[in-house]
Formats: sequence, structure tokens, C-alpha cells
Amino acid sequence: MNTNQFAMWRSSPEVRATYSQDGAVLLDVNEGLCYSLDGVAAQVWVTIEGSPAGISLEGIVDVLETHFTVSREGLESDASDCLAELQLAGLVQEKVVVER
Amino acid sequence: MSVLWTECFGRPGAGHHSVTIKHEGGGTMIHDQRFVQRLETVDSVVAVLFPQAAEVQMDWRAKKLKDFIDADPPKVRYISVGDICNELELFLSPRQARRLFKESAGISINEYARKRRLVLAAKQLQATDVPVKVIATDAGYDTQQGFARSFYDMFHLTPLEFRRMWHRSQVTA
Repeated sequence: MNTNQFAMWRSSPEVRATYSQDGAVLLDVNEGLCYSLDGVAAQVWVTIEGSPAGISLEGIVDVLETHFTVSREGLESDASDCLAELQLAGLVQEKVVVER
Repeated sequence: MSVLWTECFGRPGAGHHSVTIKHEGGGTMIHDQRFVQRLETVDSVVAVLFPQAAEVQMDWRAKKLKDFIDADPPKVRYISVGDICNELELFLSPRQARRLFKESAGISINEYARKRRLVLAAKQLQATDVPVKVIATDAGYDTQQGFARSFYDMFHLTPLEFRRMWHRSQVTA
């Protein structure tokens, strides 16, 4: 999946996260929906949640690199796919920043 | 498949199967399954948050203790570990029973019982309209505040938020 490199990602309001040893559970209080995240997705979520102003794909990959010993290209691809799934579930929001 | 990759992405017991394959000699990865999975029941949420120790690896006496708690989680609040051992004819002292359970289940017997009570409460909140105060008492809590605190620790929602969320879920469905 191609994620806009200028997009900033933010967690949706009213989504609560509970972490387990293998990942996390996200509870969307407004929509009444629950999701489980695997270890990578949980790390992506923590990173986004810790950046209230929003964070780029590159910023997320920078953080993932400190947790997983995998090539940057691989992490980029995974993070991009993961963001697409989180967005599809309405758990994160994308804001495209236009550079001038 | 890279061992490290498997450790990171395909951990056993994760409650779902997120398998990522790294080709030998290359950096390409294929996602067989998804990062995000919808959980449709309280049981599935609990299974992720509160994974059970594999029963096959459990000591049989610890397993009996676990089954006793599972059968009636609130009851454990009013009966001592020594009495449970006597009732189950385990011939263990309370100290031995506690140690055995923790070694086998990876969690103390009291903590396990507390979590089971909260799981039971969560199911009641989802499936019934019984007042939270009554559910708190059923779960063995003396006060609604104490129950709400423990519940929040486990689910990061208050009991009422949890109930509302599942009710919304039913409306959405």
C-alpha cells in the first residue's frame, strides 16, 4: 500500500487502548467496536498515540527501527500496511500536509 | 523465515495468526494476515487481554485449582486456599498451593481469581441490564468504587462505558 509520505497520522478520539503481552486491544467507545492489534501494530499505535500533533510514516518507522531488527524497507512496508488497516477501522486519521 | 522476525511478528499465543515471511537472501516480506482484527465478543477481548496458560503444561493440581476458580470465581473470595485444597483433596499446604499455582499459571492465585471475577462482571455488563452496584457485589467487591477501579485497570473503561460500548456495538450490528 502506498501511504502519502507527507501525511500526518493521529489516533481517533474516543479510542482506548489496553496492552497485553502480545499486542493491544483497542476499544472504540463511540462506535462500539473492539479490535486486537499484533505486536507491530501495537507499537505503531503507541507511537501515534504518543504524538498528539500527528506523526509521519517516516517518524513511525524511525521508532519501529529501535524496536525491531528488520530492514527499513520492510518496516516501511509493514507500517504502511498497518496504517491502512488502522485507518480502514477508523482508529487513526490521516491529515495530508502540503509542503510549500 | 527469520527467527527474529518470527519472534517479533508471529509470537505463539497471540490469539490470532499474524505471520510475516521474510524471503531468504532478500528483504521482501509477505503478509499472510492482518495487523488489526475485529473482536466481536467479550470472550474474544478477554482472550487477548488475559491469555490463559496452556493447560497441557499445567501441573494437574494447579489445573484443579484453576478449574475450581473458573467454576465459581466469586466463591474464592469467601473461602481460603487451605479450604479449597481440602475440598479438592490436594494434600497441599496453602503456601505450597500458592507457589505451585504461580509457577504453573504464571500468575498468583489471588490475581487469577480477581481477573476471573472481573471477566464475569464484564460478561454481565455486556449481556444484562443488572445495575453496576449489583454486579460489583456479585464480583465480590465491597464498594462500587473499588470495583470500578479494578475494572478500569483491566479494560481501560469504566463499567458504564464498557456497557455502553457493547450496547452501541449491538445497535451497529
